[in-house]
Amino acid sequence: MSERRYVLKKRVVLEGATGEGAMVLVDTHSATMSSCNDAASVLLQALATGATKAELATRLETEFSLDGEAAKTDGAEFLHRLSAMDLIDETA
Amino acid sequence: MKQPSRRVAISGFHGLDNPEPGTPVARALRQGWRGALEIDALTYDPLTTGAWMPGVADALHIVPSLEDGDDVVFERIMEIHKRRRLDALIPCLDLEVPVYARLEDRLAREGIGTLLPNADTAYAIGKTRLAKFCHVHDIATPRTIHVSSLGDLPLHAQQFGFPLFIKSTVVGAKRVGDITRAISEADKFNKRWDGGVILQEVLAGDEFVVSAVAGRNGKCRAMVAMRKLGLNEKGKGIVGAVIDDPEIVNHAKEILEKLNWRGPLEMEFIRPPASKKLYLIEVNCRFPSWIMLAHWARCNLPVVLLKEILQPCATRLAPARPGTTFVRDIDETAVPLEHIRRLRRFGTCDGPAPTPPRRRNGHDAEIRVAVSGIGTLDVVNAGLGVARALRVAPDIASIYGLGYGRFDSGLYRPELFDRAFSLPASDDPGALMDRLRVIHHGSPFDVIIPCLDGEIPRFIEIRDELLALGVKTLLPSSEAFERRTKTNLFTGRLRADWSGFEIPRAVRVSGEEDVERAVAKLGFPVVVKGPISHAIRARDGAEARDAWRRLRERGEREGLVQQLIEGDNFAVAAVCGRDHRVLTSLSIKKLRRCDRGSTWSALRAPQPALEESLAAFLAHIGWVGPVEGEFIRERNSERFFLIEINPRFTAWIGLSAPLGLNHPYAAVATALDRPFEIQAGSDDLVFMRSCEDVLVSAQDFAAIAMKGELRHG
Repeated sequence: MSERRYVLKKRVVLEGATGEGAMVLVDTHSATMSSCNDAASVLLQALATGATKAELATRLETEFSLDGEAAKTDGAEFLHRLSAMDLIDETA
Repeated sequence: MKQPSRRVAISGFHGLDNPEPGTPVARALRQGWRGALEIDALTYDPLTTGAWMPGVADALHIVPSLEDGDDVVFERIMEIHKRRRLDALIPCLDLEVPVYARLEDRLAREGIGTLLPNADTAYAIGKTRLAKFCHVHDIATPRTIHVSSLGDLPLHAQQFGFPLFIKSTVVGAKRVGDITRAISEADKFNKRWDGGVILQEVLAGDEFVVSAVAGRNGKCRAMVAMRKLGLNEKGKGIVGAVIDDPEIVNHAKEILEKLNWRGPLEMEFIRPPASKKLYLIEVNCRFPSWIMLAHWARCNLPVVLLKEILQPCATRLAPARPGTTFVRDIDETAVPLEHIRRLRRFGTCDGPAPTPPRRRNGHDAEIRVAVSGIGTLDVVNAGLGVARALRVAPDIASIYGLGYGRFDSGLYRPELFDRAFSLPASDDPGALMDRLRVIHHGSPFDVIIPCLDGEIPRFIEIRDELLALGVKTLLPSSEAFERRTKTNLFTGRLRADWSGFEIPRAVRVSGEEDVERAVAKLGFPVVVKGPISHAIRARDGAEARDAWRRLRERGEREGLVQQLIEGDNFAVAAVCGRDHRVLTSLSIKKLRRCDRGSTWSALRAPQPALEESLAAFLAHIGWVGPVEGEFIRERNSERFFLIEINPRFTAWIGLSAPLGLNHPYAAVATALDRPFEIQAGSDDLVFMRSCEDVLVSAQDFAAIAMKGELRHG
């Protein structure tokens, strides 16, 4: 069974994704803006095109030298938060 | 093929802190129109501040009051048209739209294009009739009733319950919590605009506004939806961002179709969190004052309108870019008095030329100054004018803005501040000093100028620590600061007669019974004042008690009741040296003030006797640093009465620079124990201030929110 992929909803825009300075997540339906730290920026860029939980955890391990379990937990919690804000879709 | 030069007449350049849309419509056309474009400002008042901002209007024209009748209005437009060959006319005030709609055909025959709704359509969605329109078309709207006779107000208000909105039939709305306030506000609105008032239930929720342009065929040509992110005390959106919510956009389009609209309009909605339903609050038959946002969002609605008027085409615009955000700020200028006189005498004059971009100071400039008080949320803070004046001083290398909130507009003005920093919203001087130490470590500065009343005592407390850090100040002692408080000024601790002015007496109050005793002693009318800010007029006992209650709602535990003095408002700005002597002073007569008392237009009016007496007063209380005395020249006696001593620069202090006095620079030089010169400058200048929206990027908001720092350039 293929692992579920998560992707940011179309209404989410990532400002500053390609430049210097903080990345900002903008919900274009409500104009809610969220400043992103480095870890959030990495995960959001992955979710812009779609990623599994495992892929997100791998990104955290690689970029921030986290151990496997911590990366899995942090990645899952981040997805949970985005889901609560209704900002991600889940695909098979 | 070269585009012909176009000329468009636009109205609505006034409005002070509640700006009319004409100025931003003109700015949006300037920025977005491809080809030569001239803009003629139509105004009812020579002191229409927005039209005098450099680069906004090519010409200004006085037009007659709408009450003079359609024919008189038309004849005046024809007079202007004979000299200026107008191609289009865009009215930006609610009351004008039906008038120009009736004149549309006559104007078109003369070659002046407009695009306006049918007069019956505009009438159907007027404020007093919108509720019925919504009922007929099954559009959700708050419970609303038009009360044409104020005698019926108490009955209807009690049926609505409180809180509720009291709205005028034209412009203005107040949220009220009791019947006394409801009657008072209704009375004011009715006196100003006639026609009774509108009562509307209060719904809490997110506020959205949509502006659109409908073509001659009634189809929507372009639309921009915005969510209000920050509201001031009056409930006006002073921070907003474009949104792309299909529910809001589709709902707005449905309403537009039901209206069979032509031209610009604005729809205001509220969405309560519990219901998620969109309630239509109001429809305005013109562009909104936030319309520059549409240009920044790449959906310039004024350009769409002008194109639709001049050369309708089927080109579709891309949707507005969501997330585009604005913060409301101000622009200031000094207009030669002769230009205003010319407009008054001849009814027409040229508009001010655009200001050339100012070159940064050269390598000789070395002084770095930090300035606080850089917001415009409810009142215009003085730090903005201080920065404007310092920008033209040759010795100033860098100016750093210090803001307390991320909506402090000065944080996002690179033309005023080279860097911006956030300060902690705390009463603790230690927290302030810690933060300034961190800022100074990364961005050293030589002088700091605090510009908010409430923070001066904290700065006084930390001045020695600042000095140890190498940062100079020019501040009074805490004793001098106390001596000028309202409580000390007006309760007999200082003598009343200062030769050039008098200090009126006031009665201290700390409850309703005190207020009643005070008004029994003083008579009416009176002013009920808070110890630091807010002054509310009262004409009778009920208004006086209501004024006291309003102060209590703001957290005040005591206040002052003073006899109202009526006359012209004056102010004297001064800078005192460490020996308490006045180094430079400047008197103005206030020409236009908003209802918070801020000055939006003023004329230099030297008052040697008044300035001399104020200098004696300031020496007596031992003042050091910048200060402003506010006075009223009593109408009958022509005697000056002191109203307030503000312990910092005044918000209009930017005027001192073009007058050759540059008070902020004088304060900086004095803080550094350096001499300064009074430069020759023009005397006959009129200070004008107008609202101006500023584009802010999401990253800039994030930089302030996360790092507390923003470096421009």
